[in-house]
Amino acid sequence: MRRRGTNLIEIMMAVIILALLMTALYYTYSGSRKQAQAVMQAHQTNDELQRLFDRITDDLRESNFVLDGTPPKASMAQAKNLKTEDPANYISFHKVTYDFSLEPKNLATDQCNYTQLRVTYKLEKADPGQATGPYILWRETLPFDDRRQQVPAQRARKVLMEGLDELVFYRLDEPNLPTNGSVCIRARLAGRGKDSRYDSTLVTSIKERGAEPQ
Amino acid sequence: MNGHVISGCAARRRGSAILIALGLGFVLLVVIASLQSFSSYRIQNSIMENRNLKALALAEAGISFAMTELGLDSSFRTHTIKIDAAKKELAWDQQVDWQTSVANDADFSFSQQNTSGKGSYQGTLGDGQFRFRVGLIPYEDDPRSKNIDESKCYFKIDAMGRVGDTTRSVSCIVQRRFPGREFLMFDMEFLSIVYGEPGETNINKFSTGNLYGHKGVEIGQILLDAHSPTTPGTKQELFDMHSIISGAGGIFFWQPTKVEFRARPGMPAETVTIPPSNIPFPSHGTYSSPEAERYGEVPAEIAGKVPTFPDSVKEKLKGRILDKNAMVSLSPGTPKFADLMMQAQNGGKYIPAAECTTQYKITPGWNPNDGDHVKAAILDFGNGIHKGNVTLPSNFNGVIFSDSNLVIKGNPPRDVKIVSKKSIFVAGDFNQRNNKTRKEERYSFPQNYDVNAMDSEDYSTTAKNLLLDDLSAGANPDDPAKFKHHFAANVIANERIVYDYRSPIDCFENEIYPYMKFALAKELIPESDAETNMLNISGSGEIDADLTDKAATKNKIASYFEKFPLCDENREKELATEFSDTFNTNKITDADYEKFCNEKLWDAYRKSYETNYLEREAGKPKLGVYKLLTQLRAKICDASGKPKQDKADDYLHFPEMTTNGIFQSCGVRSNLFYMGPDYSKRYDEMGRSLACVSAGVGLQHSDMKEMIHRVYGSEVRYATNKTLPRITGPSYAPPTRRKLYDPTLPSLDIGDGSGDIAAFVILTWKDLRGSPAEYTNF
Repeated sequence: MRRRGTNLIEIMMAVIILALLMTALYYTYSGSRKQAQAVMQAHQTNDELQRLFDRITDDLRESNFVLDGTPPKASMAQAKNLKTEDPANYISFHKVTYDFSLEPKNLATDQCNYTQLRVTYKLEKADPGQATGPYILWRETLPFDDRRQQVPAQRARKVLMEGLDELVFYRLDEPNLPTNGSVCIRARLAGRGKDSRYDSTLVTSIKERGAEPQ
Repeated sequence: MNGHVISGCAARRRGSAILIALGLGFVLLVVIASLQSFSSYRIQNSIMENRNLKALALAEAGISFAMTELGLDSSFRTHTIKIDAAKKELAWDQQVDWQTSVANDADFSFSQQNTSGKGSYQGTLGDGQFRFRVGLIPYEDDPRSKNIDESKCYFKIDAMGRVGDTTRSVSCIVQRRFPGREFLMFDMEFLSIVYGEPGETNINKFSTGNLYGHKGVEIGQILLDAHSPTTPGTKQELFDMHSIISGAGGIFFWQPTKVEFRARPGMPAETVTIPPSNIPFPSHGTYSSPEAERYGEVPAEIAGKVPTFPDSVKEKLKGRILDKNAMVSLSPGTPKFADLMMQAQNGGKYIPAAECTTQYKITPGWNPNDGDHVKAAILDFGNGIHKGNVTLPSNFNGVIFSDSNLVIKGNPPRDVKIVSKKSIFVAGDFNQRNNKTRKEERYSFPQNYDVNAMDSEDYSTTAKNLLLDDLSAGANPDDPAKFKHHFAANVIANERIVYDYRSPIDCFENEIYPYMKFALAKELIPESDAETNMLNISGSGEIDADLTDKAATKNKIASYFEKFPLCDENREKELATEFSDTFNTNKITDADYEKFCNEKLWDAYRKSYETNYLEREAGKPKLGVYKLLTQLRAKICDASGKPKQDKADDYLHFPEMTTNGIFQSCGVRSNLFYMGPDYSKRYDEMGRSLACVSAGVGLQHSDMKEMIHRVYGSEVRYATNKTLPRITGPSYAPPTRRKLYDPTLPSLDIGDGSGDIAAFVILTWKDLRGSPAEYTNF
């Protein structure tokens, strides 16, 4: 008996079914991929913020004293209302480096065996014309010599991060909490890919470890 | 045929199924691969983050352990350190032998072993390990800082933490701080500098160094009495201050207060009138109970608050007024009484409670168990005028330990730690020796001032230098050429250090004694000659008079005793006879007169005081010592009672109880103590009050403007002994105070293992990444 071949209609039907299947599969794959990308983007955003936090907290932990009034004190409730664009929203602290190779007998009357670096974190609007952010985070440094005098010529400034949607510094004023008195940082950063629906908000607290030179 | 058709259809379906299966399989593979890649990234990231945090926490734990070891044994080191001057770096050098003080703890999976092979201290905590090294930074003492011996205070501590292959390290520099050696006053409760009485115009002066109040500091003039307004009274002034520090609370100035800050590198000297705190003391404050208000509770309105200072003085106070935000909280712990007792039992002097048998009178309300006395041992070390009662063992190691109360006075003959499990009463001049080979120091340390005792905050430079010279004294402290005027005296009480002003004969011996010689001489020769010979340093000390008429001489001596009675007529007669018999001559030499005055007359007063100290006539003290004191004051003060310009060429000194040492006590406040600028504060003191008269403790021999209590050294209160009974009655009237830092303290007898209680402050901190190889080689 002659075997009947596959006719054109059958082939077309198979192609159509396959096309439909492939289309469905494509949409499924593409959706998953987009979703994965978005999650990755959010994660990347989170990572960027985390790296920024690591940088600032390492810096702060190594500091010896935070300048009076910076950052402003706030309870947890008050902290919710702090604004990035507030002129008081910055932190300045000193890092001290000792030099034990200097012998006291060789020091001048007003000379110390340490130098200091004042570090300031402050924010500026990316577009000064806008009422709010995004913001640029600056790290400014001002060295002090071993006479405790500023060295303005060596003042430096560099951008740490751009596109921040929010970053506030405050010193936690909650006497009943163990973190009372710690410097807190709250930051929000939106994803920067094609799809910026995802953003990340982090809060951390840190205490300076060193002490003011005596 | 149907079967073929069916099988043909089935074959076609099989073909589609394969395609569909392949397609689905492909999609599944893509999805699984994406998920796997994403999850493993997340998981790896989380694991790494977790390990990093753990490793950092372990490294920080290493730093904490190092500081704990140092706190328990300040001689603890694992390595020596060398300074690479070219690179301006510190490098680890030689390993040193060490032993741990921190015990292993199985409950917390903590153990430490010296198995790293590199000399580092190693421990395990949970699923990680840490190692650390400690070394003293070889730095020289900076002569510009009076309070700190820099050669013994800077440590480098490096620590590494490891979890799996993740390693973190922390490197820091730590400063060792000795509360007893660096701080003029150090209080683990609220440091209160509110001394004095209402309506008085005297000024208490506090000079040199650091002040520390763990829970806060208050400084002010008397304005209240039991929290009700009263006539403003005694003021406080601060001189030559380095810093005023609060560990946890604020620093409150209740009135404008003049403070002189010393110059420091990069910081010029500043004299600032610090304005009153912007958080005023609440006149009707909130307390948890009336009892709490009476016994030192800080009102809720200021508790935990930190005052701010106006911008006009802020810059001047920067680095000088350090409150709780300045990371300088110090918590030194408590003295090691068990170790000190062991040292006293092995080469020191140990006084068991059974040997503390003297019934030492106290005021009512002081001691609920022993009524009108406490049982004590009297340790009188003697001085340039009288001999003491303390016998020290040969090869004495310097530690005296008592299980019960001690009463101390006189001049210890060497560096000493005097320790009591109970209280120590400092009952007279303590630890200020005089070099008798120098004429100006014949009777005592020359207590001379540029102006006078009330107006000057400290001795004249010449006098001060005698104490500073002690640092270069030789091995023989009695060598006249390098005489040591005071020693490192550590006075440590598990309960209270009590300043006891009851006895003028112990508090003002060196002031009264030369005046007594003058007063007796005045009976025998003209007053002007007596003054020249007895009171002037250049005086001959001789009695140039015809004393061959014994009866006449006896009458003269009797006349003296009428003015300055011994309160023992028989003894007075004996002494008069002895004097007239011995000196039946035309001249008494300086040596003979001194011998009689010292061994007979003064000795008689000291003995008589033991039994007749409460004798009165016409409401006034009768014993000659009190009268001599009164006349001495009249001689050196003007009609208003103000001291005249002091003279350096005489033996006349303003009455002053001088106590030199590091006075460390552990008791919490247990006496009446109203916070704020309040008179109703009782410190641990006794003597000169009406309560003392009626309790038989002693008479009122001087009012506040007529005597000074000088603490030369430091006062530390650890406030760790919280079981002291309340003192419910008054026990003293305040003197005018001088609390002055002794600049020899940082260096005087401060060996590494001296047992000085220390606290440690982190100066610098650096977080670093590390590698497993670095950990292995650490």
